[in-house]
Amino acid sequence: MGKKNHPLANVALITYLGISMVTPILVGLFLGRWLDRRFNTEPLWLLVFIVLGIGGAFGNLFRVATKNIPKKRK
Amino acid sequence: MEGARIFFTLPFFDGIPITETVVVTWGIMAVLTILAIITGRNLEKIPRGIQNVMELYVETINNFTRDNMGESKKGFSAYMGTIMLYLLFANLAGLVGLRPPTADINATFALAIMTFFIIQGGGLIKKGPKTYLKGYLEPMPFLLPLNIISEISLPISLAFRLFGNVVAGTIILTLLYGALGSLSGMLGITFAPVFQVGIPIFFHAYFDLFSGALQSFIFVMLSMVFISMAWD
Repeated sequence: MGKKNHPLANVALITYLGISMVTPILVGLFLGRWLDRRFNTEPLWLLVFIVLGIGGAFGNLFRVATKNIPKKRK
Repeated sequence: MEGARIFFTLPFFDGIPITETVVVTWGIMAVLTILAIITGRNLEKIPRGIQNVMELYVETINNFTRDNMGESKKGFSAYMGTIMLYLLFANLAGLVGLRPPTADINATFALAIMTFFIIQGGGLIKKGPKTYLKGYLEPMPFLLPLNIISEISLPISLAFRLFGNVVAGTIILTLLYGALGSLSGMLGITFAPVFQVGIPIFFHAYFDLFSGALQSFIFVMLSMVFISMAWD
């Protein structure tokens, strides 16, 4: 690829880490609340989607953290 | 502080409100277009004056895109350069007393959605539908909802970080101007709010110049990183 990783790219990714952990949880929260209101099943979907959101947050973190590993193998 | 002021309403559908955001964006478009026309005329082999500045900008963006996205995706430099210029002008609009268009969630969300579609569409076309859809089932099939949530959260976090930074700066500056105005009123200086001169310069320098430039840069940088991650 001939791609060198710019140090500023890493800085931008580090500043992204914080918000990338919050947003999936918030997305899960609002999605779950909306589904609960819709089907009157409180608090089932809220809990399910918050757990999924926390998982998604860790998934984001994992993806950012392991971004460079496959490239080094080449 | 309230949202963007509505200047007038277009009489289509249920009425499309034209807010300050849209009008300032038109202004930025006009400035950028005129700049492009003026600097694009009479190009010379050996650059002089403003042509130097523009060539420096274009070259920097080209190199930057090539370094971060790889040789195969350097065509993105046009998109990245345009977004960078627009965001820079939008964030600096607060300096001349306008409301920055990026202090409106609709504007930042539109930009983030564009990046989102480039990521998803590019992944779909480059990898083929089968590999693309299989990517959602990795590393394990039951992680599908997690992957969907983290994909959806990408444009949201991109949009909200830019919006949050700019709108916070705008609110703090509005409060500061109000406070300085009433401070000079309390000291009995009624003919003019004297304190509003000079003191806000430091805050403008931080919130508009430093934070604005940094946030536009980070937005472009993150777009590059995620697009190249999805396309590889």
